[in-house]
Amino acid sequence: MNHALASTDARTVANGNASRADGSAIDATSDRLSHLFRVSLRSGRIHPLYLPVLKYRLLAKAGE
Amino acid sequence: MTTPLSLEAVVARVKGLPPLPDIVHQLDRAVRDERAGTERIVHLVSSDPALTTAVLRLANSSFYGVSGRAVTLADAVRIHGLQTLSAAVMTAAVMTRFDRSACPGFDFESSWRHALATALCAQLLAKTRGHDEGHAYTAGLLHDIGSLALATWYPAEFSSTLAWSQRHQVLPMEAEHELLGIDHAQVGWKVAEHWRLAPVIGEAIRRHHDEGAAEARDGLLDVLHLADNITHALDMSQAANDMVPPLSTATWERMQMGTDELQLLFRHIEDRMGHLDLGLKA
Repeated sequence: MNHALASTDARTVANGNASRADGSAIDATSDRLSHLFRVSLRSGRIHPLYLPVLKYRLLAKAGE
Repeated sequence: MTTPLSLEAVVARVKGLPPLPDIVHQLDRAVRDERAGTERIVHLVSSDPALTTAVLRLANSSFYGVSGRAVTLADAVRIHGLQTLSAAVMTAAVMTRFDRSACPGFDFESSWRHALATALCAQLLAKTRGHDEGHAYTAGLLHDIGSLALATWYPAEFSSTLAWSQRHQVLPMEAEHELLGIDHAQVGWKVAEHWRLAPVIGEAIRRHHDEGAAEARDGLLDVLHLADNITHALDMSQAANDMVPPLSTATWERMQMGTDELQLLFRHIEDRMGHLDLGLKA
């Protein structure tokens, strides 16, 4: 899994669950998560917490 | 060029660390003994004004889920119970053991935020998995205590490991191995021994980054390993250079975290950490 794929995941989850979140907030969330998970992203593995945290963040953004 | 540290020299520094106040051990025993009275415990804590102030600040923060204002230690026990008072005393006692100005490159506040979030997360995970909540809280609070010790005692060397970690984008632990020859988990284990904590806590601290060794993992180690990962993933330290360490597949499978449980856990941790005042900015 690379950073581009991580961003795609972010937008996929956003489209499904967080339609009210604006694009820049989603990008910022995705960028920070990619930064935090950079060790596993670089090794090509999906960390088991990556998608749950992404979902949590985007749902929170949608609820703001 | 950073000179590697000898384990013997570090252990000598550990042995020079002031012991935890006896009240920490007395409280731990009292929490496990239903016959123990709280009056004597409150009296013992209140004999230390600095500790009392720190405990009351923590007890009145949202971190411990406050539902009323604790003006005295007796209030704190009444509102939160002895288990929480014990956790707050442990937290306050440990935070006064290290000089936060010793290593300019090390963010002590971020480190404490991460430690407290991990303590809380470990306690919540232990509760739902039937493990000892007190041990889980303590292990979470102290899992990175070796980093604080190294930052305090060897600031130049430790700063080098932080810079190396960022330059090569690897975990601080890898940088410590590369430059110092030892790591913060080993040092934390020695601190736990020095402070006469239960051996299971020291062992969990020593192995909290161990993503292999699927066999022979104690339940507390699984709890601590996952709690550490979760709080890194939730960005609880708020440190610019934080990174989520690898998670043991075996731990992840054994803990069987459901989607809804994870989302609730994330919310709970963020809510409790939201207004935490560590009193470090004064």
